[in-house]
Amino acid sequence: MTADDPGRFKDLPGVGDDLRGALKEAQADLPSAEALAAVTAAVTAGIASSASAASAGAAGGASGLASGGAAAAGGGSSLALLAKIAVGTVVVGSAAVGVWYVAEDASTPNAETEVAVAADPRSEEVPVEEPTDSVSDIIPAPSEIEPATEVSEMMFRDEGALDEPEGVRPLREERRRDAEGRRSRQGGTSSLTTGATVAAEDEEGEDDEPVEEPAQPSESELLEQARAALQSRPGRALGLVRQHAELYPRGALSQEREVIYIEALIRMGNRDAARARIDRFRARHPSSIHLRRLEASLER
Amino acid sequence: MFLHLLHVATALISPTRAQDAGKQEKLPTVRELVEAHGAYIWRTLRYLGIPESDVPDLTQEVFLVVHRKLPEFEGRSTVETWLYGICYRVAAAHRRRAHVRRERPTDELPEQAADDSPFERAETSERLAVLREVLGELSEDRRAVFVLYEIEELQMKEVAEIVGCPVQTAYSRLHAARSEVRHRFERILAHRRAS
Repeated sequence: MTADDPGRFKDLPGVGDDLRGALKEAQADLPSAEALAAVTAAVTAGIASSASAASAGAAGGASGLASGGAAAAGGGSSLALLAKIAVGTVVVGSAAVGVWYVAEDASTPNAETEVAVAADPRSEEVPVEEPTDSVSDIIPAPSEIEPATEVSEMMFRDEGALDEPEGVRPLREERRRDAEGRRSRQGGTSSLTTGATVAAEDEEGEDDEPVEEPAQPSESELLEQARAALQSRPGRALGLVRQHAELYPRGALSQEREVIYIEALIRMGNRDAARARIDRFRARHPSSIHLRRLEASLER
Repeated sequence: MFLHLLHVATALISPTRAQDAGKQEKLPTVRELVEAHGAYIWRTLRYLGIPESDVPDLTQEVFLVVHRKLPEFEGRSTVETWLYGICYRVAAAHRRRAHVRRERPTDELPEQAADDSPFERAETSERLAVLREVLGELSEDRRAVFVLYEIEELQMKEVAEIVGCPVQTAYSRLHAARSEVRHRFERILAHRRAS
């Protein structure tokens, strides 16, 4: 605070004790060490994932360049764009022979077009029976989705548009796979497509079959997600449980919701609150089968 | 209040970055930034109106953006101001997406759930719950200035830089936000206690 700055609200004499206290409590309202450690781990994993995607993208870019060179040589196009890839053709000339293919359309402009075609969701879809658990297997390389990464950088500077930050894709992808899984369970054909297709689906309104997020998740879906998040992201589990309570205040699974909530509190280190809620839970459901497990979790 | 953390963060050099970029300034690594500022970024996101279920993901998103942008950091502001700026923009972008999905700006539980599942009230004091509710009702502009100045305790010139407005405008927003917060806070709290 500089000399010109006004005093903090909580220090001003005219502010009531309750508001002053609430502001101090807000300042003390920090995440638990466990929750923060989970974020740190997720950031580290996200950085590693983006680094691995970048290296894969570099390989893809080299391949595209070789293809472009081959197409140019084979088609005999004299477009000015040839000049852009001439150096690459020389450098990778011997490699280009290996990937030479008959270019039926001599107007193939450049390597970027090759990438764009590959990224078209309609061009090639590889159906996969089961979604893979490995995020890196399905995260597209940056070159496949954003040939000109400068565009996204400019978007960020401009109005802070961050609709598709690269490193966050793992979590988004996780949600998309949840949606895929739901569609699959409903009897529809689930096709996990190539990374390029996945990226195209992330762009709203640009895919042929947009993945529609359910307007309101079911009780069981919300609690399944909450339980799945318990281990690694208990903070998220708490949020999902709260969402459940908001959507289904008197839902059929309210007992299960309470159990997950208590387990999340335990994992986040809020043992006193967990103790209090277990006691209340026992008062309401004295014969619940969950009681023993909750007590055991708290004792660990 | 963050100065000591900033000193810790900036004292830890990333030798690789310094050598690769050929820069003389000492930049902290992303991990160091997470450790020094992660909890405060989490808190800021929460009080900027991000639903609690999204806060962990958004905190991660902030630092992944930091990871991408760190090589471009030019030192025209402090690392802390720069970090809060990213946080502010991530939150704004998220709210735009949330608006499309018609999500609520805060994740306070509805009144009708209070009897059955008093999650907020059990772990959060009544007055803090009211403060959150009041902040959720502020306009985005006023809320950002209020949160950054009153909860994060940044300097006003930093706040103005983060939200992208002149300092005088930030003062005006703070003044209006304070008046609104005080009025609504007292009214809602009195109403709750009376009932």
